[in-house]
Amino acid sequence: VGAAAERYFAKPVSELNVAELAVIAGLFQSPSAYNPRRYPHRALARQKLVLQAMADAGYLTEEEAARAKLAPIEFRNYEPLNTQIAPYFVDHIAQEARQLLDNKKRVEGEGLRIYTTLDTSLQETAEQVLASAPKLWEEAASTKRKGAPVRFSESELEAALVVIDPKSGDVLSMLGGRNYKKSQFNRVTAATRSPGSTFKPVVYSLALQSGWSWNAVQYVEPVTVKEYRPRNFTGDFGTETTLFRAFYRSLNTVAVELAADLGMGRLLKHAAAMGVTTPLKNEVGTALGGSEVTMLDLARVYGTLANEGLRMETTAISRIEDRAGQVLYRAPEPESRGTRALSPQTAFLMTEGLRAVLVHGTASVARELSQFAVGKTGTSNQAKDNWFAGYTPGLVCVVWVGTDGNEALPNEAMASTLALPLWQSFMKEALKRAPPEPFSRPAGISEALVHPLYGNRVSRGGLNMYFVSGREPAASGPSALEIVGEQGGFRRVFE
Amino acid sequence: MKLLLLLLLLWAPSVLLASSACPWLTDTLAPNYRDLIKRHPARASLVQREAVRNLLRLKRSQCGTPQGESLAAEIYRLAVEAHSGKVGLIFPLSGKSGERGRAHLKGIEAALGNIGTRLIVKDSGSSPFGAERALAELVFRENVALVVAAGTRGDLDRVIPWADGLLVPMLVLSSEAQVGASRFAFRVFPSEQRLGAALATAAAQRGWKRIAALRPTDGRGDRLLRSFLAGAKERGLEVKVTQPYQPNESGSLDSAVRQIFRIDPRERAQELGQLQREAEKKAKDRGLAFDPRTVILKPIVEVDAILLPDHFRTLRHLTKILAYHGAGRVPLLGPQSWRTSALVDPPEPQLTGSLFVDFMGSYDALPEPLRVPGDGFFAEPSKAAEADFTSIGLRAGRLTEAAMASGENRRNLPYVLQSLANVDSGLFGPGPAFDSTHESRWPLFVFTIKGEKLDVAPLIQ
Repeated sequence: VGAAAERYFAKPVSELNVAELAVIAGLFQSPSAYNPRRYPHRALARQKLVLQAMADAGYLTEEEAARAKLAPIEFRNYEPLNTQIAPYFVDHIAQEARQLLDNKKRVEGEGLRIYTTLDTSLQETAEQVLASAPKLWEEAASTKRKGAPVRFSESELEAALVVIDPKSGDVLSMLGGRNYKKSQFNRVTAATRSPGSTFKPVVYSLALQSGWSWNAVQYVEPVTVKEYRPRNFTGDFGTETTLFRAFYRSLNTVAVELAADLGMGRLLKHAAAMGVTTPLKNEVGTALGGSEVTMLDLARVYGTLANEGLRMETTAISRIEDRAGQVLYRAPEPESRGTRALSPQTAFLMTEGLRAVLVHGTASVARELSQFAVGKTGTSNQAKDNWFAGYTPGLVCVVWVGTDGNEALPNEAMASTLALPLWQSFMKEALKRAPPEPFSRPAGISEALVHPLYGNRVSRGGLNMYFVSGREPAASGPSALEIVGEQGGFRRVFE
Repeated sequence: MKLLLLLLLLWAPSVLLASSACPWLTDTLAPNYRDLIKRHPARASLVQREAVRNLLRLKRSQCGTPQGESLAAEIYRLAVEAHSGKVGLIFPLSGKSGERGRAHLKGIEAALGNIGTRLIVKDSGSSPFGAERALAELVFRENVALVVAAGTRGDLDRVIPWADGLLVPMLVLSSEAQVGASRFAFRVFPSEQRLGAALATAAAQRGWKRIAALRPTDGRGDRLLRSFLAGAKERGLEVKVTQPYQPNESGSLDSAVRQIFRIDPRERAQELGQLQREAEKKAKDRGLAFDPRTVILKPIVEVDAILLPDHFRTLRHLTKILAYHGAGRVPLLGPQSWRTSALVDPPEPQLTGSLFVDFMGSYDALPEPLRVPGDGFFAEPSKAAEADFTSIGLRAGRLTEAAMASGENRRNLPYVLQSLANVDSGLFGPGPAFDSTHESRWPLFVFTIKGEKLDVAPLIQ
């Protein structure tokens, strides 16, 4: 809303009158179709509908609505600073510079020299990746045609990508949409969307930090928490699972039970500590990514994991000088920007869990990258949002695919078919730039071969899991859970 | 006891009390001996004993002659009547049933280890052919007085018919092998049918009148269910059996639960629509995404209890499904296979008031050498199955000991067995050891789940 206010009326949202606000509200259904500059008649017709709806709902009197409908509207003739190089990033720079200098008039036309964190090479790679994905859009659109009535066209499918340096919080690349000329709405900074399962690392990292281990066993079952009934994407119920397996298979019921056990209050605080600045709903569904966040929120969360538990504030500006060369702003040194959110050990455990997502889990099509990169898929309700968030030790990349109209995508569409291929292409290129470095393993970590369902140590056939030293499973025979899981119970006298 | 035995002997088949055993030897016993011998290679080794060779040579035409009758009497004495003091064990000590065979052996050796009975142990290799060959060796070569045979139904259905054919009393350690038609075979194994009938008794004693019964598709629990239905009918209980569920398929168990509680979206479409509208409004007010699939109908509870003739893992799943549908307060009924420590640890509020029936009370009742680690009601998980099989072996040993102590020959031992009382009232309960159908009478205990503990009481029928 703030970005649209700036874009179409050149003033902050707090200064908009009712008539102008109604124009903005009318944009939500389809920002392209009701673009006030391109289709002013449509925008004004839509505005009138909004005003009438407000009157009908009692937010305005009929007189106020009638006055607002007749009020003159002046749209600003938007002139982007730059439409050639990273235009979304440049828009973001202008906004961030205003905030940093606390005087928006000094940003444009003042001859300021703004030093940014943009990595033009990565930006170019990101642009190429998004531009080279028409096949993806075609596939998504064609799958839609197979099923329910078509509610969006290929051209409505949007995508955004952001890359940060986890060690400094610097924003290295930002693509707020597929086509800046068509839509200047920056989906990285301004859109809040349901993150789906990409939020689960927040839940699991709190659990691991609170003493749970990857081999802890949960029963995958239908659950009801305060009338909330999550569904598993795979629909599998009635099995035991370790937390590790539940994580890489992205089982919703387990995440909800964990969240209920940990407490939503703690979870929301933990999310904030990891970098989520958007207020989250105090609802169990938040554990499954039901509460909207920005892409930058997610980038900070994954950056905290990549940076061994130290959260860095994201920034796109390193220095601002006036025309005389006087430094008006200098970003604090990275060392002073970090706040500890997780122990290095917990962050490492999460990295290994995220690696398993690529090796065994929902992102196994990108297994080839798992030696140096890790990440998590996320698909919100009815596939409206498709995410992949992941990192190497030196780069965090978050990709989103969806529609501005928040349309449901077909059943065949999901994070692994839409967002993941983009992330995969980007990471492959990014990893070519320098010899990839492995994730560092902190002291106080041990590993064991563990049964993926029952959590007991096994000599073969299990998964390698990592533990905070001292919490690894004891070396012993089959566990009670394994006996129940495989034989149904301890007794089998009649079988 | 002696009077009873005398009466039983008086009832014995006339052929065994006839003045001449010769025609029976030539027309019945010898053909059976030949038949069994023919089935196995290395036949010569099976007929080394003089009495066996003479029996096979005896001809019908010799009967009635003084020489023939004398020979027949001698053969009969040596082949059937002479008490060898030996007990033959046919156990699957190797192969797929090896684990249970070894556990049985441990139990029987604990019971018979210190008495004069000589045990001849044969490994069936978990195969019907191996079991039959072992029987031939034990009868022809060792002249055993009694056979204790363990294994699967497939193994023992090949062996049990020979008990009557060869006049060999046999204790059968199998839940499924058929003993009903045999005079010489007795099952020393807990009876699933008795557990089913006991569940019906326990339900009636609780005052439960309307029971829903679940049924797995794989046949597991069918015998228990059948006997439960028969017992319930006798006691005037109303039982509705649901559509079968597939034990490893979550949705089918959920469907069965929906059937019990009439959670049918088509039948109650109007009610569901109303619930969905309410939920949608609530979600909207709270700014949450709404998924109509998560709105469910409330259960209509028309049953007092639910029978689940399945093991603990399915019970756990059922418990969660009941909770999901908000039908958690309905008690559940089930068999001994529910018994795991996870039943009460962590305590499952949904299960409080539910019960199961078991033939094993406390594991502490096992004699010291056979004790398994645990806390009385729950054996250490990997030892619980072994404890069952060991205790079955132990019971077989105790009954063998009592039968052999009578000094009776093979043809009379069945009557001894039929008249035996349980020799260990602590572990095996009071009363006769077998019922009239040769089924073993194990004691029965009702376990009631009360949060984090179990209450146990003997079932009083």
